[in-house]
Amino acid sequence: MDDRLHTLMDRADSCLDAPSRATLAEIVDGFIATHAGAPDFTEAERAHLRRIDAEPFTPADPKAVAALFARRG
Amino acid sequence: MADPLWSARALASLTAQDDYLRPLNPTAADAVLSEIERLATLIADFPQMGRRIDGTTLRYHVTARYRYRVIYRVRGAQVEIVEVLLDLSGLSGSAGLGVTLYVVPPAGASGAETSVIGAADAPGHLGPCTGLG
Repeated sequence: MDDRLHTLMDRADSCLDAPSRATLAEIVDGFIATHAGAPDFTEAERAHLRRIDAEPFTPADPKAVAALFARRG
Repeated sequence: MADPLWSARALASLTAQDDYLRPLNPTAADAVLSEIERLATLIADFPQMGRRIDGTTLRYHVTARYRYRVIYRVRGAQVEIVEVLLDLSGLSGSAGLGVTLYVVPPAGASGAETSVIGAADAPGHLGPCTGLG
């Protein structure tokens, strides 16, 4: 492993509390899933994304966004 | 950085997925929303952390547990979340949603969209289940 990364992971393991370690693990897990290997999109997905990219951005109603996340119990 | 802006499309996709999942597994539905909210906040703070999508101005980042792909664009100091897709290839054994899923187009999709993204290997919008897993 890269020395700096190794050192940082050791520091994180020894210095952070359990919730912070869990947060860091989630970040690292997601980062690996994002960046490891080839980009994982099908041709249909790529076409969908190219179409979205060409569209003007239409913002959602912030109240509707808040309402969705407020569904959590 | 400012809070991320959600597009109407991304909100519709995530709402449709929550509409489907919540009655089947409310705990997982809560966890999915929390994970996506945390990632959206992280992306707003570190917009370059996502991976570029070739041929577009978009980037994406995957959520750690449920493998949703949050598609976004960085415009100046603002992050725009333009779509949320489920990585169906990561569902077997690891996603832990507790339901069996198949792909349908998002609510309100046009006929043209349906023909493109309604295929089995198309973007991961959740639809009616084939049974509890």
